[in-house]
Amino acid sequence: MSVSILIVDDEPDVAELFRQRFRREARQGTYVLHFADSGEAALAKLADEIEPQLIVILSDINMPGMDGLALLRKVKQLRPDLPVIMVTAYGDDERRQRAAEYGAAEFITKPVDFDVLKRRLEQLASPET
Amino acid sequence: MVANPSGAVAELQQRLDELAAELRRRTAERDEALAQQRATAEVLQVINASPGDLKPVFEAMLDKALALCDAAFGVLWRYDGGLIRAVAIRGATPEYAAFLTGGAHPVAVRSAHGRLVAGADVAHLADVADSDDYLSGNPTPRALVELGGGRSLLALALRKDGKLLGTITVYRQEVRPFTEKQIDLLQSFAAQAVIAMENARLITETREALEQQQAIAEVLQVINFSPGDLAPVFQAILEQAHAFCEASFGALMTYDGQSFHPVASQHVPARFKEFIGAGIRFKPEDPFGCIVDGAPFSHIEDLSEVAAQYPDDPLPRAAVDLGGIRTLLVVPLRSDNALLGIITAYRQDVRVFTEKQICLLQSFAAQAVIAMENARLITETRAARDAAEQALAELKTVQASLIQAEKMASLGQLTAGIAHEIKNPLNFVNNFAGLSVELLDELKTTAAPGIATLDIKTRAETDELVAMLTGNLEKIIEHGRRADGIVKSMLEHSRGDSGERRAVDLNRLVDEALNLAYHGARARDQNFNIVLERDFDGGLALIELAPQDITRVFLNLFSNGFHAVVKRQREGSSPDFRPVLKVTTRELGEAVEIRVRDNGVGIAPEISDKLFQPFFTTKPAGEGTGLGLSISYDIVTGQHGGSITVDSEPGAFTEFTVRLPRHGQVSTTKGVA
Repeated sequence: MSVSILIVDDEPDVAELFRQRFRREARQGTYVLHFADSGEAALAKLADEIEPQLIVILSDINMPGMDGLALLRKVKQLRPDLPVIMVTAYGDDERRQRAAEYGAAEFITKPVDFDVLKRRLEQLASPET
Repeated sequence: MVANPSGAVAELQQRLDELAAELRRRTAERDEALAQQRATAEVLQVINASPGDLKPVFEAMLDKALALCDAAFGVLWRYDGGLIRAVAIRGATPEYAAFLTGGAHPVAVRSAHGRLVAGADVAHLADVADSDDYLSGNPTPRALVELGGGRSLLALALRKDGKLLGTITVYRQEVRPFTEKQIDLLQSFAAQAVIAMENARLITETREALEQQQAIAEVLQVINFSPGDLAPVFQAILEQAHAFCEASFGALMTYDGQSFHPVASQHVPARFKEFIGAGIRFKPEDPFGCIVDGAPFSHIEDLSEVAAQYPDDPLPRAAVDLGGIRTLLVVPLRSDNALLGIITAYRQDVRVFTEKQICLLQSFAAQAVIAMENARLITETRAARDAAEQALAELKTVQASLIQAEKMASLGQLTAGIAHEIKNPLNFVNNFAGLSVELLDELKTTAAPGIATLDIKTRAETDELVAMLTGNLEKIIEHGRRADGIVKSMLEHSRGDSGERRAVDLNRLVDEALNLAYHGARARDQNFNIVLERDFDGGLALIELAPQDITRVFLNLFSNGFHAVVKRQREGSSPDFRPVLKVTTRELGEAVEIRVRDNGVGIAPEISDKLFQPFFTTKPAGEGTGLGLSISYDIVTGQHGGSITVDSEPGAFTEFTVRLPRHGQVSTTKGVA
């Protein structure tokens, strides 16, 4: 039973990094990775109904156009139950506070600790445990 | 035709005689008028030739008057304050002339002059020897008759605007009254004499006024040439004043509220000068005391009397004995009722100062006051200017420091920006390097069956290549982590907005700061080198503090230490000088102590108390903000309730000791904005 993850980052190598990091899970069919290079692209993908079921959005904050925090607000309006994890190089208090205020599930600073992230995703994929 | 020829002839003869007499009379009148005109012209000539000097004028006038009035001798008298004095004498006997020049004489009411004083214009005595004045035994008419042989007298008043200036008096040595004509004649001379006196007065007044103006102008010039410098002004005032007041010597003294001190003196005898040099005091009861009380001046006719009257007062005694002073005039220097000093004029003979001289000295005193006020204003203006200049200089320094601080702040932001920009690609480097190690492992596993089929040599080469790749990737990871650490430190240092407290390993914090400072210094100066000695207490327990701020403190202390050793090297230390910075940490139970000691130039004792003041820096402009230690002080004392002290020996060492208590005051107001 596979689930989807949407990763939003304007940096193209982020997609490559996630693909490689999640290559085993992808091969096993645990997660299907979707990528968007902007907030707008992410919203477009969301409107098209992602298959299989989308369990989390991982979004960068600093992006040209709609930034991660704006995307977070929009997503929370459209899909209040969908967890959004913010990922940023700038771990300052102000962004952290605003992310929490807008309803982010988590705030992760770069570089991403993939072991921690994977454990968190496992929790999200099986909420009943 | 002619009835009586002889009668007619007689009549004609009589008429002829009458006409001849008329002609003679008219000729005489003409001659007289001519003589008078000539006399007047001559007198006027004399008046013109000797402006202001009346004696020759009066003498010429008397000569003519005597001739025209047929008198034996004449005197021109001056009247002043009830006394009469001969100013020109012509034709008098030497005895009488000597009597007249002996001095002024009182005017007896019943004398001829007394009548003129009373208001008459003419006093005519047929015989002085028969007058009441003479008969009553007055010495003046007695001398006239007995020494001068005077008998008939004609005296005319010399008046100007009703005021009696003097008389012109002619005498005959026999009893023969003067004719109406002679009286008229003398009156015309009297009129001329008045004109001459008036001219002389005007000339004298003008000349005096001119001289005073000149004197004042000279003083003002001196005032202008020596702004703020009173000594030459006082000297000039004193010289002028004394010349005009006919004083033999004197001084200008300033008053300090209790005593007077000479600031300028003119011809003062040495011993008296020495006496007043120590400062003099006026006692309220002595005659100068009134000056302190507000009197416009003090004028003492004979100081020796005062000295005798006040035997216990040393001042009059000294003035008489040491200065030989007799007549004395003291005028105060006052401004808005405040006594600033005095100007004194002394005479060594008993001779009072005239009202005019007193007025003059007062006007010179007024000038001295103006000069003193000017000097005060100039001094105040200069002081204000100096203060303003100093304030400006300070402002400039502060401004320069602020600009520097601003530059540093923007540099900090720039550093943060750069660090962030580096951080992202560095994350990729680290991530992909880590992934590649994993991928290589997978490759080894996946390709293991294939590799097993290879010959031994090729298999060995393949294994070696994979091992080398793995090793290289691990090196990339290792150095990537190192770079990541540096970037984190840069970010922590540039981010001044935290102040967040947490329990930290202080040894590690100090060590990181030391490395950061060292590398920073090396980055700035490749030749920089120093031995870093770490003496860390291994038993240091975690301590709760704001790590970013405390890091800042140590970065500052370390870079100051580096600066000090570089300075010592640059200032010509011995070739075997080995720069050392030693950092010691000690667990004190309730607190932690960190010592930072360098063997640099040291701190001069006179500036060690300014060390923690904001904007105080010993570094050249542009190298230091002067804020480092002041911020450090705020962080350690204000924010952490600790202490920071310094011990130094110039040319040997500097040691800062920081003590951080474990339960330091948790301050919400931070030293750094």
